[in-house]
Amino acid sequence: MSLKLHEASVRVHGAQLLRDASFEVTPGKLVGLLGPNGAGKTTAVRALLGLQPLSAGYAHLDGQPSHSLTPKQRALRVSYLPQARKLAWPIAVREAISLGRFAYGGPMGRLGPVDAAAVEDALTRCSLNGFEDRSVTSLSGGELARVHLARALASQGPALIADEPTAALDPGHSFDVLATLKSQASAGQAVLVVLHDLALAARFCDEIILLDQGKLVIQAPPREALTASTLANVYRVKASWDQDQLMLSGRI
Amino acid sequence: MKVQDHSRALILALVLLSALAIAASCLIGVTPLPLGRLMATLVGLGDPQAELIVWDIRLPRALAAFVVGMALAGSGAALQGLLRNPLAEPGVLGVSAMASLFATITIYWGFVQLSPRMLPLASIAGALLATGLLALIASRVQSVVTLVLVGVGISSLAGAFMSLLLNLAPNPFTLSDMMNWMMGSVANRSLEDLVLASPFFVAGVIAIGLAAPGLRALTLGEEAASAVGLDVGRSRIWVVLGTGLLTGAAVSVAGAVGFVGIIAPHLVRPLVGYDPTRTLVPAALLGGLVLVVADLIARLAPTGQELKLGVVAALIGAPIFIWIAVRRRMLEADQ
Repeated sequence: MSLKLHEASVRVHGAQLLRDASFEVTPGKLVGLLGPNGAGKTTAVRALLGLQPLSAGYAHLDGQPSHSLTPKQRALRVSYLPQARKLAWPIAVREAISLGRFAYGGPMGRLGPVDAAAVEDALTRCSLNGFEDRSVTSLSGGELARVHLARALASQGPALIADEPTAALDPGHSFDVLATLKSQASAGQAVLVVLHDLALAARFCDEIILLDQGKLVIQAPPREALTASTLANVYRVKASWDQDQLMLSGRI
Repeated sequence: MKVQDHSRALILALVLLSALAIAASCLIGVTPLPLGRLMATLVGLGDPQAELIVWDIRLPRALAAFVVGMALAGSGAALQGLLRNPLAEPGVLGVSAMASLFATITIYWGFVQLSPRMLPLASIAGALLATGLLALIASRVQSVVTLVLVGVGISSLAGAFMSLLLNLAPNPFTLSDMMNWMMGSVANRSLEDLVLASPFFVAGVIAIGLAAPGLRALTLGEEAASAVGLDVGRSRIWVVLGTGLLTGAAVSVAGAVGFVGIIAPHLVRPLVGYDPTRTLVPAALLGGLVLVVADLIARLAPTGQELKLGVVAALIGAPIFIWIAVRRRMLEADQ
């Protein structure tokens, strides 16, 4: 299962959000999608999923054009965690996670024992045991982020895309989320994660895709992608590597 | 906060209470009917007077109130699930306003005299026109807010035309006819009226049923609902279509009765774990029960003229509506 964007361009109301961007996410790797605000990260993700029409180029999921997939076919291939996190009703944690199995449900949305086991597994992996019957609106930001992650894990698809899963999380919880994503990749999933924290990305990701103004800057392992000169050009920040750690020391 | 689901027990209790309320409607009235006579009549062994009271007057009236309440509350619950807003109701999309307008037009120009079926047919046509328009727009726009705004526009337009007709009403009789229709009532309904509307009720229930599982996924928001495999556009069309059919049929039977579609789902929600899919059936049952009881109050209230069902429903419903709105504001401020 691979996710592929080939020379993709997106134009919305005259604004060029993505220009000739090409990249590929392969199984077994945790890939970080990075770039300054407005670089086109979310657009790239939505284009990859077939949710955003392309003006040129193509997007493929597992060799098939993304836009030709039905929502159900797409859900069975990729678990997608969008940025919006607010739930409309105070449903129970277990039910929110069960929604990750929606595409597997029968005609009336009934879920079987396999689905229940997947939900149970996701609950445990995100340390949510004991929270099953809590309402999702009574949770802290960190707990809610874990519920959303568990929902994405529960679908057990071959690929996972998470758009800023660590937004508004403290460093400890951010580490937990990245560690979980990393273990998903080690287990063979293709994982693409949009991040803002460069040091976090450098520490966990196997590969970095760096976007700037809708264009691909580089796709490479962190050491090669996030060099001092690249970061100076793209982010206008001073950065240096100390062995395996990326340090940021201020604005240029 | 713990969330629990009691939907099975709730449905059972509501079915029993509804049956009791409908039986009470048959027993209570100007001519009291003892339980024994009612039972005999229901199995076909009653005396002619009891037969007349039960089959031609009280039972059709109670059933009409029940079916209308179910249709409006079920539509409300479905719309709230789709729009993810507990204050949504059939009125929001302008469907009931359009249905009422078409009914009013047939009264105004005297089309009702052509056939007794004109009135129901017109209000269903009005509802279908509004829903058809909405379904057309729903498949093109992504935003639910746009859809609601279009509904508000349709509602205002229908309201303006309605006021114009009232303004220009040629004589007091037409005016009073139109007022009756706008206030909502199930008095003098026959079983034939219900039979005429029944295909639309059935079609509406099927459409809502097709959309039902997806409402649960929509709790996550549209983007995430689509991500877990829901065809959001299709759900939207089924809900809009089902709501149009149910509301049009309800207006054709009872005129404009408001607030049931907001209140019943709101009361049911905490008891079914706030799940929008599980809210549907108990909310519809509670809506039916509420209107049967409201109609009983309308009949029994010691007023010179009989109260209109819509007036009683609004007197009970509007304060609860305000309470929900204020409480929702407070909850949002907390977050």
